[in-house]
Amino acid sequence: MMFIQLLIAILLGIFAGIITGLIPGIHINLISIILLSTSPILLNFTHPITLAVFIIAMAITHTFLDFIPSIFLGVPEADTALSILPGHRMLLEGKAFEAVKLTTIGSLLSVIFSILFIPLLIIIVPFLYNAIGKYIGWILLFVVLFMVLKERSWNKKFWAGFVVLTSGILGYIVLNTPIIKEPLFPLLSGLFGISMLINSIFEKSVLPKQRITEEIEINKKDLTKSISAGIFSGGLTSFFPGLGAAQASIIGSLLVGNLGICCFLILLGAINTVNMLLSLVTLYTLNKARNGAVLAILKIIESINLSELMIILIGTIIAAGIATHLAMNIVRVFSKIIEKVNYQILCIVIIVLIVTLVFIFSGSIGLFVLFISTMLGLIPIYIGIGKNHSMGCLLIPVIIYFI
Amino acid sequence: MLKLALICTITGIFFLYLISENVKLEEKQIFEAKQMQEGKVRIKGFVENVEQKEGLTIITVSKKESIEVIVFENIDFEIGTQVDVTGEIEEYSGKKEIIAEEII
Repeated sequence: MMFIQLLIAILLGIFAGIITGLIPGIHINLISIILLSTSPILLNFTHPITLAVFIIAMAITHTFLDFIPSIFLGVPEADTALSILPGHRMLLEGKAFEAVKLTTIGSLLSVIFSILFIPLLIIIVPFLYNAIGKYIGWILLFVVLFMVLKERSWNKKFWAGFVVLTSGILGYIVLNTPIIKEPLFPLLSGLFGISMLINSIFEKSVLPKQRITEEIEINKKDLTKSISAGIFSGGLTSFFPGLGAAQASIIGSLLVGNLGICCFLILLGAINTVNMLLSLVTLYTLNKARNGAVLAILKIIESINLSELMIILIGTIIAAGIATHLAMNIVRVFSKIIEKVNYQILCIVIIVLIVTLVFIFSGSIGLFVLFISTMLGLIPIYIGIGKNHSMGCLLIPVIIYFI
Repeated sequence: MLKLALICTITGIFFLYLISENVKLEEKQIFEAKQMQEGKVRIKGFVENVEQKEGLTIITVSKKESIEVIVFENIDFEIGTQVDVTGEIEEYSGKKEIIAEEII
């Protein structure tokens, strides 16, 4: 009976993950909060671990699918924002299927390898947490400086510094102004989404026929590097409060150096999923929740023992397997639909959609934030520097928090 | 276009800063604050009790219901004073409390 309940929880979780992954603005935290508030009633019919399995199946499926709207539509979340530029570049080359396939490869391989490393992590997490916890702010500051100084000319270094600082100031104000609801949505949509769509409209970009690539050749050494860096930096986010997939993507991409678009997308896929998966290890070892979904699990089951962790991990593997197939099938459908539409009109429709969603979720002040962040998001495009500097909006507030 | 983007960004951030400095969070009743899982909250009430500990002050604020407000410094409050508290809602030992950021 328990087995059937768990299986149903996994399937329902996957279904919820499809909704949160594909529809911009609906986050897993929202479903987790709804589940948490209805848990006193639900627990009359089922066991707390069943609800925990539902949440993790939803969260893992979400991390497999949330790249699809960011690559096809340019609508970001904190976890996927950095995938927009390379992902969109591939969309304009007719390789959107490949782009999603790469992030899915990253997600799936990272699930397999991080589960293999979990016994080791259970031992080293408490040690690591105490050893580098004090220095995490300085590590991030170093990462930011490195990111800026990596730009080639002094002119570009100056502008990179300007973008990091300005987006940092904007991020700090936005995240600390309590009247802005869902502050990340307008902030990231402007910096990464609308700015890029506006540029596509001005450049009169045209979408070519999307090709479905069944086999992608990736150098095994580069693949190993991407997955290892993904597990390491994604792991960091699970241990330290305030660090998210966005910061981990910057750390990870600096760790592996320039591996090209393919491996970068694999790295992002890996970080996004590892971030969710390893936060379960932190829950088990430190009894601390590092994201909304795990916080909901902690509230429902209060503490987690080894056998419960095993059940959740098995749920994770099943969800990951199914989510891989789902992602590949959904992206096939998306690829066929998108080549039939007029790209200029699509860009305008998406901008209108984002503006409407921002107004619904964050109100008129959200629209003001969206306007400022869009203007700021255009600067790296015009100067010709990396869009990752706009991640200062999340890095600088975290550095201030730690230092 | 670059100049326009720059001007809009800098003036926009300046105005957003002014807005953020001058807006107040909507006031919540204490029972509503206690129902929140996390996030920022603003409540009003009267000081019912003040407890000084090393490096922090625990103020019990009440208005129909009561909630503990934690201030990470030692400050004096007169019992019965009306206070307007803005802070982060947190759970400690199964009880909701507010980590104060501003008390007027």
